[in-house]
Amino acid sequence: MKYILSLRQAIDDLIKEKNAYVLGEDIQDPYGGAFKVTKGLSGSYPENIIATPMSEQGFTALGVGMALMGDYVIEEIMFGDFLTLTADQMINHAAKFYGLYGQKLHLILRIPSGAYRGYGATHSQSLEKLFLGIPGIRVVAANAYSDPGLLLKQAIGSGKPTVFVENKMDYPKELILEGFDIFCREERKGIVRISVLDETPQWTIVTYGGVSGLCVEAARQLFYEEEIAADIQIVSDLSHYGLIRDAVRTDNVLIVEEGAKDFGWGCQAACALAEDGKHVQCMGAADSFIPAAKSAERSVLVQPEDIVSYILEKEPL
Amino acid sequence: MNIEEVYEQCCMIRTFERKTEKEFEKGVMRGTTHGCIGQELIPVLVMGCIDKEHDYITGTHRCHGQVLSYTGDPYRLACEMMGRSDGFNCGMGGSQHIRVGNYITNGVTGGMAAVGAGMALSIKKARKEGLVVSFLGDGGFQEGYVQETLNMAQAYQIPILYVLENNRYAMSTPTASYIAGVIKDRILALGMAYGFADARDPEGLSRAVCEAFAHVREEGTPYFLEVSTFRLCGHSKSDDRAYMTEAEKEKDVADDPVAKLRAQLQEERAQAIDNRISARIEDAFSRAKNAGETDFSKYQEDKKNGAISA
Repeated sequence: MKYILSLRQAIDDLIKEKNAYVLGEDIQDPYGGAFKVTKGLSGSYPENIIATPMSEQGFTALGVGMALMGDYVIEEIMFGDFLTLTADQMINHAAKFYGLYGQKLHLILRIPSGAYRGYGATHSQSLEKLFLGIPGIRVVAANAYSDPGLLLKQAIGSGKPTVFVENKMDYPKELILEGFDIFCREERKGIVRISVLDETPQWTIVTYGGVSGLCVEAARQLFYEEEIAADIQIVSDLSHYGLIRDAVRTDNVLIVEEGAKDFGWGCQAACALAEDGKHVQCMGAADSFIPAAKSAERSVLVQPEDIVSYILEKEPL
Repeated sequence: MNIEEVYEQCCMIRTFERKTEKEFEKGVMRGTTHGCIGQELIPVLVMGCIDKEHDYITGTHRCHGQVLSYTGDPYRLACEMMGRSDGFNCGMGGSQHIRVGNYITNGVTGGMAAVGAGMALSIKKARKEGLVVSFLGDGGFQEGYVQETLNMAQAYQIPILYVLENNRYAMSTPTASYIAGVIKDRILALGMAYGFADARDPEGLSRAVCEAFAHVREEGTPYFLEVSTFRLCGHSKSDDRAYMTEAEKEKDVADDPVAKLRAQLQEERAQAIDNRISARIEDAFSRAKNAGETDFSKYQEDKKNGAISA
């Protein structure tokens, strides 16, 4: 199944089972959403697919209010970059109703994020780190190696307001939910491990979201060209970063994220792994806006060859 | 409007607020507080029209009058403000973070008026009875998400009653000097039903509040009631109202609607109410002072188990 279809099916199920509401811009047919995730749903459920004006601050508040009344609510923020507009309602309202008032809120903010498409500075970012470390908010990132629809259902079921990161490059991808060519896939505790069949790993690459595919690509190169076996640990529940401590099984760890590296998720994950005596390094985008020009964008963002060359440099000959 | 009853409720709020000021001075209470002295009549009359089973209310940071007229319980409010476990939120919210029954408020100006629109949308979608009353101030009115949700409230035709308490000042900022046009014109430009009342005229305010509720109940669509009012106290405990002229303050005192209500009662009756309320507030505060505190780790545990969820 395709990533986008898994999401659409999950939303369909949530409407059928929980009378969930979806709020967002341009989400009704015939347009069906900027990335077509809700395409076809407004025909079947005209009452549940609630199109909004360009008022992210305001419609985030509407979703918070509906969730406060017990509704299941999925809000689509057209581009994850616009997450900034939702901050007060999420941090000062939803998170406080959950934490202070003990109110379950079945509220999801879906944020299509990520770069590598030439969309430039305000349509390419991975801003989820702004919401990491906020008590009362969970951040979950989908990837193409686990079922995003299932993750969405689990997140909304939890009753904790959740920022749900989707990657725009992943929408058309076929999901990989079992082993493939030289890799086996194992899932436990919200972490998917992709490892080279029958090999003892020398390295671990910890990652999440859209760049998981780059990491797999790098691992393939490392194995075929350099005979280095690397585990890839793909995390989905970013707020529970401590889970990776049980999952990592090598001393050398590289953490890869798509967003700007500094003060990122990787720093926090590295801190946890360092407590276990691991040798950890973080990799992410450069400290720059994301340029539109292809070569410039490429230079700012992590590429598979960056991962390969980093590991080769560190690898004792 | 039953003048005696309305006066008694206003008197309770004012006595509570005056007591609060004293307790802060003495250091018995900590944190901050936003008094509503001068504005008491508005929450009292609004709560008088509430259907407690079906209606929902979102408040503001200046919420004591709203909470007292909704619950009639000064003891639990005093406990909340003193961090006692008998508070509405076990003392964890304090003066401006209170949820009780169908009433909920929070500390960000305008934020709850925006949330209220979502609650009203939920009521409409579920075809339930009831409406949402969202209080807001002339300061909070200027927040971006308030303007956005006013637009959506009217576009979606949801059952919400906005009650804007215009006390002329956003903290110390004179609203008239920082607003382009007037509030009324913005509301009318949305096509939303608008009403105006002056809290200096209790009978007129009472009629306006009834009309506003009737509109939302009958039509199921938004209504915006702007009430002209004033604070006879600072914005918060640290505010001595240096931004107001003495003449302005004197005029407000002369216009005080609570004093006007009292003047309509026989002095004997009024004195009896004052005495009764005074004793009640003293009792509430002294019991609150001696009440137990919440064990925070237990609070968090209860919350996790859903024991506290309202």
